[in-house]
Amino acid sequence: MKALELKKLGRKVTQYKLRDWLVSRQRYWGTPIPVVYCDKCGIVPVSENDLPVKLPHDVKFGKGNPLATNEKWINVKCPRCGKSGRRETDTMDTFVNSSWYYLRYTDSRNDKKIFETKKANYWTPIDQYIGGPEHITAHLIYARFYTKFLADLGLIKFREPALRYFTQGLVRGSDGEKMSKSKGNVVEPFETINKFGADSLRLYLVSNSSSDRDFDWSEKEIQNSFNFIGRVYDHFANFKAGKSDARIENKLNKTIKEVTLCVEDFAHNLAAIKIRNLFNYFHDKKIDRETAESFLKMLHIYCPFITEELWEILGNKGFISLAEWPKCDEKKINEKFEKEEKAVEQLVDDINNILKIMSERKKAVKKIFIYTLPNEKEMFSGNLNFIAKKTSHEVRIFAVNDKDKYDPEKKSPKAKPGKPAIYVE
Amino acid sequence: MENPTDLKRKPAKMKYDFKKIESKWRKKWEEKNVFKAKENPKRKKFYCLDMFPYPSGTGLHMGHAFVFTLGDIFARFKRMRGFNVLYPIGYDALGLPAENAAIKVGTHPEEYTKKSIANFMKQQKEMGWSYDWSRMINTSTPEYYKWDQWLFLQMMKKGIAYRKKAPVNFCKKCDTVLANEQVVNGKCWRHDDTEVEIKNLEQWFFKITDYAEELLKGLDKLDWPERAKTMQRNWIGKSEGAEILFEIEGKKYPVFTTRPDTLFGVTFLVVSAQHSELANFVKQNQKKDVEKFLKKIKSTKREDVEKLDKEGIFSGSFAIHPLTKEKIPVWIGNFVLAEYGSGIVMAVPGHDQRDFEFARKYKLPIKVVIKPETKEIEGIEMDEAYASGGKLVNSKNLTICFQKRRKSIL
Repeated sequence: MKALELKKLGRKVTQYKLRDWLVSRQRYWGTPIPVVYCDKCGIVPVSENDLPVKLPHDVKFGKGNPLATNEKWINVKCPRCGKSGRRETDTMDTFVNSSWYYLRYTDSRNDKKIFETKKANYWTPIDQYIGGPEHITAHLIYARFYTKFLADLGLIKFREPALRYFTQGLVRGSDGEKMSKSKGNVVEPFETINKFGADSLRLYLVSNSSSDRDFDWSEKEIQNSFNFIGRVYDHFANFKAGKSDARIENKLNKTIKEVTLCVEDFAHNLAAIKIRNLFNYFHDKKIDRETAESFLKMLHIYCPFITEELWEILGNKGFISLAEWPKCDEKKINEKFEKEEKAVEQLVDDINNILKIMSERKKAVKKIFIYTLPNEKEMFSGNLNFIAKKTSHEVRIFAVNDKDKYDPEKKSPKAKPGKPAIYVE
Repeated sequence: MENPTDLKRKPAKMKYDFKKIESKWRKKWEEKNVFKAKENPKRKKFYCLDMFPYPSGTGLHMGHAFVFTLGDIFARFKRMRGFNVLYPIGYDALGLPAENAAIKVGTHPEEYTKKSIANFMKQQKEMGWSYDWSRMINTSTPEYYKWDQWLFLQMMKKGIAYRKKAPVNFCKKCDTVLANEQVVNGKCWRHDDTEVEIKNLEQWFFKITDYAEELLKGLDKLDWPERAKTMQRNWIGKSEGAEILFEIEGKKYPVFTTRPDTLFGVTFLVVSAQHSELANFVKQNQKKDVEKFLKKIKSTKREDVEKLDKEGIFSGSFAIHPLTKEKIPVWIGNFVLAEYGSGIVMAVPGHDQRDFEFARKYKLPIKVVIKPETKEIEGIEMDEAYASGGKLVNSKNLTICFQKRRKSIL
């Protein structure tokens, strides 16, 4: 390269694929380009005081650029020399409109300025931007370019429009295909709201999968969301506060901690599961008012209407929309309870598996006997009702060293830590 | 036996009258301006924004319902977390779809847009999205687009907005020109059945290329999906290389290459079929063949260059190699982009696969100037280009210059 440079035959260069943005369009429904052509002065910008150059209402649509059909609009005096000139009939690409709209929101009623710099600098840049991946190489390039240009004009003090950006997935039809009229798989939000309500639709839309993934529409799942909301409503419409025990407080605080992280990360499907689990956990127990309200607050971001209603029913004056997000009290999270819960759930699963096998073999089961290690008897006994309910059977629990235990098939030696032995009769 | 999982799904007792509840709270939120955002320097702000919709006459679709729900969840979450949240909404109301739809139903785009926006607003409120409606914008109003025009004038002052004649994309169905960003696989972004034509027209441009480097570098600091950043990086497409002057018919033209080390291997040049000075290269005796060729090939878009069947035709002109002073033929090719570099590329068939295929197809010479350390290769016997590193050969005084550099690269 040096040899070439010395001989003046070449030079080092950086090349970009990016091209200048072609913004003129030969169509009507766009922003008129504020320029006049004058035979004497050439291309003359319209004076700032004469803005806006309004789109004329009367034009003929059909062949060619409709703006070229309104002679009265086109013929105008040259802003420089005052002789007859002609307006530019090209309009701007619509991506021009969307390149800086986010700034206009900060002062959208200002008729003296594009926006007040102080207001723009307070609100912008966008902290979280959300929109489809199809806009990555068009709108998002243009908006970044405009931001830099506006910063160079001194109108704003930052150079990037959006600090964080999330791209959502596609909602496909129930057949797994893109929704389209020709395929007949279109589901309209409006119809869905009429049938299930907006809360159900909202909860359903985020419960499916990670929100950046595509998913297939499912009427069954939205019914599910609807049923859940109904149960929540029933529960709190007649709510009587009691005292939350340590287990409930553990569960609540753990849920708050995890849901907060999930929402921040757009992992709404996981957040929704945790919120539902919390409800399923406490719905047949006594809980205090704070637990109830914390639960409603977390559900609120997904189901704003029903939670406002229940918030009011609980006797609150203001809006839950403006209430404070629940705080996690780490001191109330107790890993012992977590372990216990997992062990009990595992036991329920094991019992249900056995019951399933028995029913396949057409053997009737009347009673279930559990044999735990001596130090775990209390833990499992404390969940006796839960286990009985989840397995829909009568359950009895013994420690392996209980003298008077009923163990006709000598199952008790099989008990392991956290995993009791099971006998069904 | 009752399946234990059924317990969770026991239907509600249906006391829950969602229609009544939802309309009640919609009214209350609106009456009390619950979601109105006010500047307050003492409070930490949070700006949450969904890309605003184009208000089509058919109203909200499920994609809107999904994406705006995601935005609303986040806005509500941040509001409850104590932030001063700005969550506005507006309508990207100008554009061809509205114009075409209005023509189709025999109304004016303005009426069509007004109606569509009213319908959108009604449906958006049903969804419970917590917008600050007092800030609503509609880009089709003069109050909004006045500032588009104002910015245009500022860009003219700074030389960012300019007018020039250039090969541009034209969609027959849209009856207008398009930006590069609106051409997808050589077709119009709105009409995937319509090939974009290239026309030489005088048009307005924004000099976004002035910001190319900053657009690239700025990406590093952004918390965006990696895929989105990569797509922008590729779109900006930075490459370092050299511009080498070749004399063609008495005039010097810069030719861009990322491999100046292979300069001695150049056996022909290829000019873009859309090059603005194409006529200068075409010799009388080749004129008919060139015209036939230009009719046959379709417009070349950057997306298809890799997939394209490489085709070319000899222009009749020759270039002078800047170092060897040899005469090398100038070809016209469909795989060279007019707007990339100078619209002319140097072909090194010995070391570039695309050039190699072209040379074999049209029986052009192949010259080896880089050899692997362990193997002998000859142009005539090669099955593919040798694109890797090695030692420079047949390159006279360049050899010394480049050996150092290539070592540091490879």
